[in-house]
Amino acid sequence: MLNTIWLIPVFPLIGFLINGLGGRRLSRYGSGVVACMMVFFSFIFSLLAVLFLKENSYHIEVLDWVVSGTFSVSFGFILDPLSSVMVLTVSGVAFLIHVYSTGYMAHDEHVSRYFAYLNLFVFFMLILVLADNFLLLYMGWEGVGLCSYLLIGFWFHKDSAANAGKKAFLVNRVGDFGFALGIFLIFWHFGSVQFPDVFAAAPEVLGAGGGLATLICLLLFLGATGKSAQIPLYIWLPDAMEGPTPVSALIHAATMVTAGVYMVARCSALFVFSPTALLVVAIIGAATALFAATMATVQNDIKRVLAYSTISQLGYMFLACGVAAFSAAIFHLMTHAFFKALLFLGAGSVIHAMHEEQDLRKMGGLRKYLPATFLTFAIATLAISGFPGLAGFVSKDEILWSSFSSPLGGLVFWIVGVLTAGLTAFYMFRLLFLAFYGKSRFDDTTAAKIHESPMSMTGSLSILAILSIVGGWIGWPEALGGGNSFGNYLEPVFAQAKEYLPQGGHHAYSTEYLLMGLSVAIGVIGFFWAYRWYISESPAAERIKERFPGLYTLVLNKYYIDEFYQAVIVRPLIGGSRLLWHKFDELAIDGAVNGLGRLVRAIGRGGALAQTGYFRAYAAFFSLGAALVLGWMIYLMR
Amino acid sequence: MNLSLFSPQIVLGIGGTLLFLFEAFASERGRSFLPTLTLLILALSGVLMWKSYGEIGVLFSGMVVYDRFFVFFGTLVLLGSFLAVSFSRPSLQQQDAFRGEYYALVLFSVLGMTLLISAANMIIVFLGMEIMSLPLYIMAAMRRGSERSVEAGAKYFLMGAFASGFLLYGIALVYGATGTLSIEEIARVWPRGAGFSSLGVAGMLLIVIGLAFKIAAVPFHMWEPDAYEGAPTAVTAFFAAGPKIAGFAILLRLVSWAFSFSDPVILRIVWMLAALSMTVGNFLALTQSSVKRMLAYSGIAHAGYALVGLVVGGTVAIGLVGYYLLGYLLASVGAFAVIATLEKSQERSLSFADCAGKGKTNPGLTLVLTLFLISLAGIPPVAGFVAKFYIFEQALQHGFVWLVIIAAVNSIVSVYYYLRTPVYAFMKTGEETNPDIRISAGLVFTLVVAALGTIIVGISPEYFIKLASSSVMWFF
Repeated sequence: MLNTIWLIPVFPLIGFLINGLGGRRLSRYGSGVVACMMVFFSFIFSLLAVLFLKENSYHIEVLDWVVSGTFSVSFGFILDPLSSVMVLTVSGVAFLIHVYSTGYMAHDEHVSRYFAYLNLFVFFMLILVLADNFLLLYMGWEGVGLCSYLLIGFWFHKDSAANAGKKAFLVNRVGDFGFALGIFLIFWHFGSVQFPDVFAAAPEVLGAGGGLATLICLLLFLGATGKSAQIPLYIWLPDAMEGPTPVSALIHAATMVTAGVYMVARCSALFVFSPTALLVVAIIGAATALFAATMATVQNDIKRVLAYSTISQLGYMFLACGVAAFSAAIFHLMTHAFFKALLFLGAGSVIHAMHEEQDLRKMGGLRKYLPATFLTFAIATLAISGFPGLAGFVSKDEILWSSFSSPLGGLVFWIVGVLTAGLTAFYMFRLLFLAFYGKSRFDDTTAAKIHESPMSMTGSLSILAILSIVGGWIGWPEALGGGNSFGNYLEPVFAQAKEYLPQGGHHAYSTEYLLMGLSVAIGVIGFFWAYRWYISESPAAERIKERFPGLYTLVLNKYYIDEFYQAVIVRPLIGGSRLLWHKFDELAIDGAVNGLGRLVRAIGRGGALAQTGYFRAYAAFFSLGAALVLGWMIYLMR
Repeated sequence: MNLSLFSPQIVLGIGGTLLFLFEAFASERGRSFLPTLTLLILALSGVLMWKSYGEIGVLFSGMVVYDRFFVFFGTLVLLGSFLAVSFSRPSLQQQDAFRGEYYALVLFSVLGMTLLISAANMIIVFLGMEIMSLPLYIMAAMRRGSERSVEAGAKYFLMGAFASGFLLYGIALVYGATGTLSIEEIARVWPRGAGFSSLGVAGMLLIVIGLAFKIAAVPFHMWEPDAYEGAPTAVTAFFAAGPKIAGFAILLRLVSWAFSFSDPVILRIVWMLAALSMTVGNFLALTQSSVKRMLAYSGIAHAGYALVGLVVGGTVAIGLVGYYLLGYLLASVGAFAVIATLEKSQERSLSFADCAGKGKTNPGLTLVLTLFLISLAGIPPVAGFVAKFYIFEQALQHGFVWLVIIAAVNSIVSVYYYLRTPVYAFMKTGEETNPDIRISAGLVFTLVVAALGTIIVGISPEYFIKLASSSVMWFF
């Protein structure tokens, strides 16, 4: 069974080929069915493979890829607990979102192109998580970036969508450049890019100290900040919401953006050799979590709230990585995939029902129009806000606890995390209240057209809702009488990293109860705050706006970070490029190239004159050549 | 004497004769089977050629040998002829050059080539050369109504006779210096190291000149553009596939076996021929407006690249020449086949401007044409790139740095004119479409084999290189 794991990514590739090449011949329905089936096969094969996985890690090399001197890379896959969690999450959530898409995209003209891209994305994502070496990981990494670009700009006739795709691609290039440099450095110093070789040699190569470990890890992390939208490269994700909503759910919430977290966790054996890099990861993660959460509190676009929320939650995961709680990060990655996908799909359902309306100010009271969507959305809101018992509570609590108790953590990280939790509860309930409660802020003609989404959509919502409730139970903390079986399952992957970490002191359960209670309390405060402002005395929000107009505008405009980048990086870059283009490229380079070309052609024309077409000229030329050859021979032999 | 080792040639000879007779008495309908019969005879000859692969036999009192070298290069010649014949009928008909004797002439010419490749005696070298060449002259003039075609045939014939004189005189001088015509005997008495007699060296150089004419190396190349352009395009494809390969084969056999190639004189002269051929071929190709003529000049340049391998010498490099020719053969026959199909008028050959917009009207044809041109230009990952890369690498290893620099600069120059056709085809719009493009089964066969071959030979070169170098192994 295990030697067929290479089929897991192949299925979506087949789906991509079918839809990409023959999509025009398929009906809309057929395209969707093919795409769903292929991802479903992937999921089934993943499930079987994970069930059959007995040893700690299964490694298979399928094909030689690059063989050049001492450098050789193969198409090889690794299945271990870490990649097991990832393939199951990716293929499972992807399947649900594919099914949802059949309903959501049913009226789009280019549905086969949509499904082709979506399948291609799943292919690259599965390659990414199954890869056994950095180069293949990088291929998947670039591939998902490409698909993200294609899907953000899926409605490319809209300028905003095309620009958002471009922005995502360009910002990611910055991160990918760092990632590539990191891989080069790894190959330079390790002589291999295979994970087993590199990790086995890590203590020897990096253990000596020096800046090498820090440099490699920070470069890798730069790649992660691009893909996973962390400070300073998070700016592309909110704009990426221009894509179809299921795409936002799959790529920009559940899977692709978590690739950075996966990569850092995969490289845990490298990161533990650089406490500096880990500290940077933790600080960036914590800062992003808080910063993005504040921006989420004032957004009026339903998807943008969720986008900032995603950035914030990814910050949590990096915070966990930074304090070396890798399994907690992966755990939150998984539960987040469930509830954030659910939130996006719910938002999609709302948008679908409201006929492409995304502005929260024009919603309200949707509870009675969209009961199924409301119910599942409410569950997801409770989950992400950390309502005790639900998936988000368990995983977030583990991160908070680790950020406090880990020898690499500290009280500051915990405080930032808890503040973020409070803000999370606030902005999520704000969203819920604005969209589903209160008076409807749309006219009656719109109201008449609102309808609950089809089964394909609500079905996916329901399954994700169940997962958002029970998904956390597999990692129930020991303090609450659970076994933390999720952490134990991942144990072997991070065993090597753990050896090189400082051992923390033991903390009593009572501390854990106290902190848990505090974080739940802060969540409840966030909830009441939102309730007070948006339900019981709804003008309250307006009063705040009036009292602190400067602060409000600052946050509403996302702290003017985009404008800052525009002024400091983009404009000078474009200006400089223009200058190079006109002054250097057009004059110097083009001039030289064209001049050379003209020269070459002139020589050729001169030579062509000798080709007169007269036989006597040919014979004379021939004889001359022969005479020269013989003459030269006589000269040489004299 | 095991006559079965000679059966490939026998089949070609008898087949050609029978085809001649058949053609004389056959009805119009019967004549339409001529291409198929030709293909069958070529295939049969190929099968017989491979039957005793690995054996070495000397036949007819040392006149002819059967060895791996013969099988390898003989197969190249048969493959090239097969591909050139496969698509010939509609193309010849379109140019009003479809005559029955063409196919018999092909077989005779191929007989001459196989004889030439298997020659173990200077007499057979000359004989093979003439048997190969005489039909070519007629074939060049196959479009009897066209002045250009007749002119091409006449020029080719006169120049060929001229070159044969050089060859024959060279053979005579070598005989004078060594007292034998047997290649094996010459190899035995040919001085290794110092002590060359100027008589023998002069004879050798005259032979090299005679052969340089056949492979169209500068400055003995002048006939080639005229003959290639004047001949019907299907014939041009045959010219590129057959005589060039056979000429190279005998050149390789002679210089690496008979004239042990350690003499600095001939080394420098071949060095110069290689450098001149690459440079002149490429620079003249740049200025052409006809695709066919451009390919003719590119054929001169390719002879130069292949000669680099000859300059380097040794099993590896000489074997790589064989591999190079395989790549060249597939790409150039394929390219000529596409051009033959795209041509519309009989008199004017296909120009770059004619290709404008063909990417839209004939996407499949232009796509494979692009593949062949990419291979000729030496862009990865196809055969042409790999062959160039390995030959240049060998030359660098043996210290021929300047030759590699010249070759590399030339490769860059060549990209310009090779990519012109695709640029016109895909990026410019043409004024009208060409409705009477006929895609015959034979054409599809030629294009598929040539395209797949170009890709496969490029992607997994190990097998082909091993085959080629094992064919030249025993000279060293």
